[in-house]
Amino acid sequence: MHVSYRFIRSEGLRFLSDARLRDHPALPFVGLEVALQFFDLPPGPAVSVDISDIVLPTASPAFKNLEADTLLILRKCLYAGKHLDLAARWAEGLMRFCEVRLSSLESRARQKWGTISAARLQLLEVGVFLLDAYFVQRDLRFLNTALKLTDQKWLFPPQPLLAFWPQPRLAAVWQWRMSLMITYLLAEIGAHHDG
Amino acid sequence: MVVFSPSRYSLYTLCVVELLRRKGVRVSGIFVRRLVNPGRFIQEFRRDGKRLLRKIWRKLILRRQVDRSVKYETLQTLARRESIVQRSVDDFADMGIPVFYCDDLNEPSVLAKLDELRPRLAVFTGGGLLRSELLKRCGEGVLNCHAGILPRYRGMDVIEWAILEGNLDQVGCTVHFMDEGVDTGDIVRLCPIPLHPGDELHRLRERFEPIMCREMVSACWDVLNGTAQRVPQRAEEGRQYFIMHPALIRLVEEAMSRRVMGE
Repeated sequence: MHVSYRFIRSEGLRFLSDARLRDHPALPFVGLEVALQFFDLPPGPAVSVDISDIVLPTASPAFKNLEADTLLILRKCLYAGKHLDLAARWAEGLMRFCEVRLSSLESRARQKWGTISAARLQLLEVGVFLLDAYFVQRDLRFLNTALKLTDQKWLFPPQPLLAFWPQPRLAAVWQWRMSLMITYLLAEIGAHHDG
Repeated sequence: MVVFSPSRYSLYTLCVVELLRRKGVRVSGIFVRRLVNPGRFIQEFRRDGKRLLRKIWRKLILRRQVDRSVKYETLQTLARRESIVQRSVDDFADMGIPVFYCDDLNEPSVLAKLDELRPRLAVFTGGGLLRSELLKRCGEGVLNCHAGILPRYRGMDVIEWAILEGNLDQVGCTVHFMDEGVDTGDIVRLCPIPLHPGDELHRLRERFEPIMCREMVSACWDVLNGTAQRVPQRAEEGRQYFIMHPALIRLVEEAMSRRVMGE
């Protein structure tokens, strides 16, 4: 993945000003406060994450057990600072799967979700979840796997996904979010090593 | 005892076998994976990516070349100092140690030969996993020297991971028995290796290799003499690491170059 600072800023300004995305139930801008500041972008919408009604996943943390809303539930747990052990177990399970099956990830994802668009959307959200998990738990392995996902051409094709045709496309937002978080996190780690 | 080698030219294998032989250890066979094997290349390329090509260059093409610019011991200087003259494992066949070639160490022909040899111990000098059918045919077990401190750092690129995570006291090597898990078997010897201010990341493994060779030989000797202590690992004590992405490797290199500058 090679994404410029300018691209992250310009796409960020477009996405953050779109009311349909600001109110999107997938919470595309939650958990980004520090990273948005790093890029001198306006803050995301003030969203309070309510997890009182969520149904926690009970299946064993594995790629094969991912349901349509599993990742959103786990991300909400991370943002709310609750059920972090559960989120960590899922992050570990998904990380291991992506690492061991990296070369066949596309075919396995297509088999599970039926179409390339659905597969891409879900795997991008896996990448978003791994970065969120790293941000909370500071397990560098999650960042490592997210970086490898950005090298997958089917997830990050050379031509950027059309972001607003016909609706704001969540896949494009996830690509942007991953690029934003990764660029920020690598700078943060580098600065930490500088002491 | 027997030895499992990743290739006929592995200098690490040649040093381990010859140093064991000189201590009076009877090596009853060396099992060698064939190099020219498309299945093997595909499997290893999937695991290592383009790094496999650099590995092939270093371990096969440059294998005996001594780099006079380095000031530390390498496998090449160890071999020279110890007068280890063998160029391939086939030279051991001339000394009465049978050499068996295979495509996969877990294949039936290897298992059948192990049933015949009934080794008391085995030494593994290459990467990869061994299945239970092979492990149970190796007497007390199969020893491996992992380039990381167990149980904390299991898996791949653990030198880099320890440095990235700021755990410089967790850089070193561990001799352990192999089981079906990834670096989860009983520990026999732990050897932390301090980093020096002049160390460069791409040279670290080169500096580690002769140390790993000596640790392996000592561990074998201790096991065969009944003086080794086997310390079991618990799964929750460590983490499994995977190949590090180049973007993180660059951060490790930058951190190490700052050490060189004394920052």
